[in-house]
Amino acid sequence: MTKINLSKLNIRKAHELMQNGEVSARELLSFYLGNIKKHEKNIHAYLEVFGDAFEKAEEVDKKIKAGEEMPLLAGIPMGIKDNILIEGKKCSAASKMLEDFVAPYDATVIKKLKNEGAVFLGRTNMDEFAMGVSTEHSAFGVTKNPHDLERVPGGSSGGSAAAVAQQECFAALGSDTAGSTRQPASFCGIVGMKPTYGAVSRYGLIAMASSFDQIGPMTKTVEDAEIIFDAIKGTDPMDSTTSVGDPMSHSECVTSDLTIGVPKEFFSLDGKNEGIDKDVEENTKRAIDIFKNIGLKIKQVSLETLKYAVEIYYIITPAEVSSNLSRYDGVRYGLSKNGDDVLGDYLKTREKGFGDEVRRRILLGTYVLSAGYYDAYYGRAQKARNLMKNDFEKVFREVDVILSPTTPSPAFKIGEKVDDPIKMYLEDIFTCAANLTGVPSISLPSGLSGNLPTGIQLMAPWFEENRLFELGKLFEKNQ
Amino acid sequence: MAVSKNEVKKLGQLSRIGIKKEEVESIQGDLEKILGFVSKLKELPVPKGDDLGAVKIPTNNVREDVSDLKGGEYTRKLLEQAPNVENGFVKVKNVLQNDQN
Repeated sequence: MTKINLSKLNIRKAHELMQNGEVSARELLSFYLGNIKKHEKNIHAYLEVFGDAFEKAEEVDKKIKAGEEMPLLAGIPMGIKDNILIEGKKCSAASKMLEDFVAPYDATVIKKLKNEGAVFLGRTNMDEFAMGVSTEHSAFGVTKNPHDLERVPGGSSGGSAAAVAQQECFAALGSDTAGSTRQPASFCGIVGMKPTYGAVSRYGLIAMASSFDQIGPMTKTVEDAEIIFDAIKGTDPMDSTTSVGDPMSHSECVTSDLTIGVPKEFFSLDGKNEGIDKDVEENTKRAIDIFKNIGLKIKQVSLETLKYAVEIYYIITPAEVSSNLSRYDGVRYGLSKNGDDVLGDYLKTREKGFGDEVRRRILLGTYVLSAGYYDAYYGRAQKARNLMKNDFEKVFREVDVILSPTTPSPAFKIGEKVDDPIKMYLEDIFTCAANLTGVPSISLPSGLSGNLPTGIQLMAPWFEENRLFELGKLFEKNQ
Repeated sequence: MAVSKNEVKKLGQLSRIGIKKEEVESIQGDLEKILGFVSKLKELPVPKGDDLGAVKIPTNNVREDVSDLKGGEYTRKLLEQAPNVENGFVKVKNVLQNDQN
């Protein structure tokens, strides 16, 4: 019998092999646990590897032996970002504030994955409360990029990205508030996706900025991302922002009829692209040619508001952060420090519990919401956000998909930007517009810069995830 | 954008975050830098007054206002997470204080 190369499997193939009895869920799990044992001391993708994964894998094997037809994700070992609740497991959001917090219930996405029979390997590292682009803001140490251990894996879902890239899990869940699945996917050479706002329930996701947050898949292939997205999407009575009914388009999309728009504010088709790494530029141009050769039309478009995306984002999110994180008061759960009086308890708990970046954003959010500054910052940013939504609606009448690089440069060195918040914030320059407008977006590996991966990003209109998956699969095939 | 040291302290109080004296200056610098950066948004003309600009507002998906939980189902689990508990209640320090003292 030829030995099966487990590292090359996609979900569908793994499912077939398990269902036919050629590979057991236990064997598959052993492969990933073996990789964790081998690489984790260098990578630090996980904050905790769960002890009960074998039990879950054996349950799957037993059912298959009994002749049950299992769902696609049964027995697939997954990493889960440390801000998604799994009942009975710790969930810390990589913060000292929640270091010992045990989840009292399952997030809706976890419940759905459990119903499919997915196996949870552990909780993956991230920037504290998902605020950051490098995992350097984790309270429990930085994750390393598997392609170069001196570099960051991106963030905030950096642990999930590194774990997938290093074969320390089959696939992972991340969350995306400004690019937190796509930017680390780009840095680590994998696929990362942010669904339409409202497509996936956030019940049981530790909130960062509630008008932006979405949970998304991080995988080796586009089809794997689609399978996981299909498993976790849908209306949820426990998250009032999930879309009512099922607005997902199931229409076959004829990809060769589509037009791809490239916003000149992000990427010029014929002019200079200052501020974009040479290889990233090259790989993006090559990707555009691939789509052209398949028969798609390419069009340079303009969205004036894109120039202000990062500015709008860094006014509105800190505001939402300052409100969302007010719940961490040391009274009901989480870290609790003793002060002179009840106010003293709050001040001390939140001083000790939150890291520098989280404190910075809370203070900034409090500032832009305070009397006298509200109109100049928050009010203006909300209006600008709406202008951007209108811009997107308009441009999607002209083109079917928007393409750009995922990030201006490949992974940066650990420590390179950590003291400069603005440099960090500019990492979100191409990704945060999808969160500001709510449209779905995917990052696909586009090639290399030296030994470092680069990525391209596609954005589609609201609830047109199909287009992203179909184009993504075509792109993979024609690489 | 100028942010004074007093404003930094005030923000700490408002957001219930203790700030050490020696931290005030670096936080002040960071906030000024970030506010300076986001102030570029002032270049973009936006609608005046309360007009947010026409945009489709998504509708909320609301459930019936009833609970299908059994009474006390989560009480023990949640109290286990509370740092300070007495007789089945979460305990905090006095909230009301006598300001005359």
